[in-house]
Amino acid sequence: MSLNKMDLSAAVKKQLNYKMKVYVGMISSLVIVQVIGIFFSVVSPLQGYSTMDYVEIEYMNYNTLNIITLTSLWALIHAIIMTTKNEWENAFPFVGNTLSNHLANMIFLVGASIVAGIVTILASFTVRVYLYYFTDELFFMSPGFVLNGGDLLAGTVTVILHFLLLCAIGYFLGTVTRLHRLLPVLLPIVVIGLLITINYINHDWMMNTVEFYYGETSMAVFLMKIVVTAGILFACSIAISSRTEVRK
Amino acid sequence: MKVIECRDLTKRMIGRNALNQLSFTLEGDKITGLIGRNGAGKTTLMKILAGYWHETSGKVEVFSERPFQNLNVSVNAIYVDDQMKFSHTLTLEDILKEAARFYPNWDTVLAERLFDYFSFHPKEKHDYLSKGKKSTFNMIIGLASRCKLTMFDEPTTGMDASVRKDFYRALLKDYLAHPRTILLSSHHLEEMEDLLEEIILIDEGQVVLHESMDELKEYALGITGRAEILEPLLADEEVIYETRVGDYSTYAAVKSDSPVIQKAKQHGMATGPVPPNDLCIYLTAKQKGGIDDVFK
Repeated sequence: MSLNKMDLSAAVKKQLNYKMKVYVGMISSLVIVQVIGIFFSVVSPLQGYSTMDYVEIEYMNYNTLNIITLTSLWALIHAIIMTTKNEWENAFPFVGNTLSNHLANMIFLVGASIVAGIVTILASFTVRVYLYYFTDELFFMSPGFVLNGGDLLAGTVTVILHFLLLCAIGYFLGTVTRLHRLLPVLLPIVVIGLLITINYINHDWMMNTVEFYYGETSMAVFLMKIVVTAGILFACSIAISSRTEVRK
Repeated sequence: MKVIECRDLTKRMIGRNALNQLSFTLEGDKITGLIGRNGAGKTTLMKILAGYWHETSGKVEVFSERPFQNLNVSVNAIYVDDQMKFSHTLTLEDILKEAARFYPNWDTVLAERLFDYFSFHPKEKHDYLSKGKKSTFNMIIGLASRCKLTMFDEPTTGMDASVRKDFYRALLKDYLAHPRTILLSSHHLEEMEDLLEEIILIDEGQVVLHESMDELKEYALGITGRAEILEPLLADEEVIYETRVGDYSTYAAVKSDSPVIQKAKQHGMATGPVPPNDLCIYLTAKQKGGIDDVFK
């Protein structure tokens, strides 16, 4: 019997294929999250009331922010779950090492973000179609209601990148928690505490951070910022777990 | 070609050395038994060889490469134990299909025939299998993967007597058809005696004995004789094991080249071979006396 060779790219390819079978549940949960998001968007519009002289206006403002928020949570939580010890071991394939397993997970998350982004945009159309046909009241189309091709593309890419960033954050935090068994409890406390403290000391700092990413008007720069940030988070995840032993 | 080479291999676990300057070399295609008491370091050694754990110090090489996180070692070595985990989304059928994609030497026909023989259902989930069934299923993966280095850690855990027999037989048949290095760890040496060509006895993280099975069978001799005659003979000699049998007799195990044997024979005492299983227990006994002494 001769010895077989396995290089990193071959291992990652095989593992990615494996992950797609193992994490099939992630897609079904995405569908459920989207349905819930659509439901909330339709039943709970932002309601308002204003009067001007003899005119009274009662309005309902529908938006699809619900869908994006819920899907963001979905991305964050799934990325964290992927790094938990149990899931890591269950999904650790027959042949591989920590690096190849990380890379397969990350490529999978990129793919999942793309799917989630496209599905989210499509779900927003579902909401639009529903409102267009099924609301009885006077119907005003806000500027974003009808999208042209360019908007659609920009919107899709933005949402995809947004999910990718959350996946990277979740994956990084999840990997950090595996360094010590107290961290799953401590880390959320530390992170939330830190955010509150930073907000207390310097209120602008957090706003500036959000602004840095989401206030960006140039698509190319936004793409760069997210990709570089996600890349750094993923690289840190790989670096801090390179000495981790599997199957304790 | 050297399959495994360990030199002064040490693995520090919390508070103690699970492996303590362990050295041995394994060459050629053989079935080797890794024998030792609970906590002797068998599992630790195998997990290091499989590349799951890293060594603390010393040198360890599998196929002349350091195994930790090594893809070439990962594809050529498989480690099978009862802790093997698979994703709960996969059925048994899926697991076999996935394993086939990962291992280049995978034998689909063998896997399917064993799968049918042990009457598994393709849609069953690994999590819900009983202990013995799990071990049996893991064994199928271990055999069908045909890895150059195949390691079974306590493979028969939970298996009933008939499945255990089938397992040993399947292992031997497959080994004869496709020779490779097989490392088997077990407490049941007596069951595997006919299967093993070599044994490595480890205790407290060190190799106590690395012998071929034939040599092991002749390694020691047991002497039974009247206590008042035999015990003085043993006094100044190296004795592996000594115990009182009844009130007047003593049983002792000594190395087969020990001068005691000649003297004992002159006294007309009976000598006989020491079964390998007993020998391993004697060699790794923690202290004089047994469990009875705890209750004294």
